[in-house]
Amino acid sequence: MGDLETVKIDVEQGVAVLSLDKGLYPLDVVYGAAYVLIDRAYVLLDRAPDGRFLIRLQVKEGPLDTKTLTALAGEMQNELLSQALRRKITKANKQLLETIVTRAIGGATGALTPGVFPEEDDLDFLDDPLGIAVPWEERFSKDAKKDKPTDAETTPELAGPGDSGGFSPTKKGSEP
Amino acid sequence: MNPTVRLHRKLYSKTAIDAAKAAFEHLADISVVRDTDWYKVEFVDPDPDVQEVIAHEFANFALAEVVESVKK
Repeated sequence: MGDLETVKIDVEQGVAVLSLDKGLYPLDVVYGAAYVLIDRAYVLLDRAPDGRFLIRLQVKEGPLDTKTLTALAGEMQNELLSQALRRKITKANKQLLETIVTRAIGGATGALTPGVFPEEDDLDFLDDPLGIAVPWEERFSKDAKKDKPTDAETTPELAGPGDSGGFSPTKKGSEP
Repeated sequence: MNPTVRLHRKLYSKTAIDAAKAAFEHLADISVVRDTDWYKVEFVDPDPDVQEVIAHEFANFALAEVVESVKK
């Protein structure tokens, strides 16, 4: 059984080649790790006849010595691990993330959903049945109070004892 | 000798290679030939200023295109 992961440094050509067992990392992890390094190194992905992933790394700038190439290969290995862990965490929390996002989107758009509003087809957008659009000054100014009819003026008079045409319900002589 | 690069067909999509070809065609005459499991890309008469790196940069560009398409 071959090694899961091997590194070969070729100083003469200035390349480091990582060989990974095909079952060690999924392809998207390899893509993700390679993508992180393409601003600093030339990355070429390949496959060996036995299916292993080959990652060929070459520094863009700087010395092409063993130390540099070893560091670059090590960085790639770290990034592979990082990507693999990130993928695992994302997968484990996928349902939770989807639930949170769905609720957030649902909550944000729910208030704007036309179906939520009561159907008031006969109301115009200029109608103000609750008097919300009346300015504060106008509503509470003295003139407005003066003009405003009092309760006595607006409340219809109810029938009471004084309206009985002088009839007193108490019997004569019953009063003390 | 013209610079060349070999891109594995299971790792690099044709769409990504075509996008890279379109981006680099002002620097060289680029031919892409399908060869068993690989696309063999050859840069004919490349711009002398980029002759050393054109194949590497092309591969990086194609890889970035692949990763971007996978992300979507």
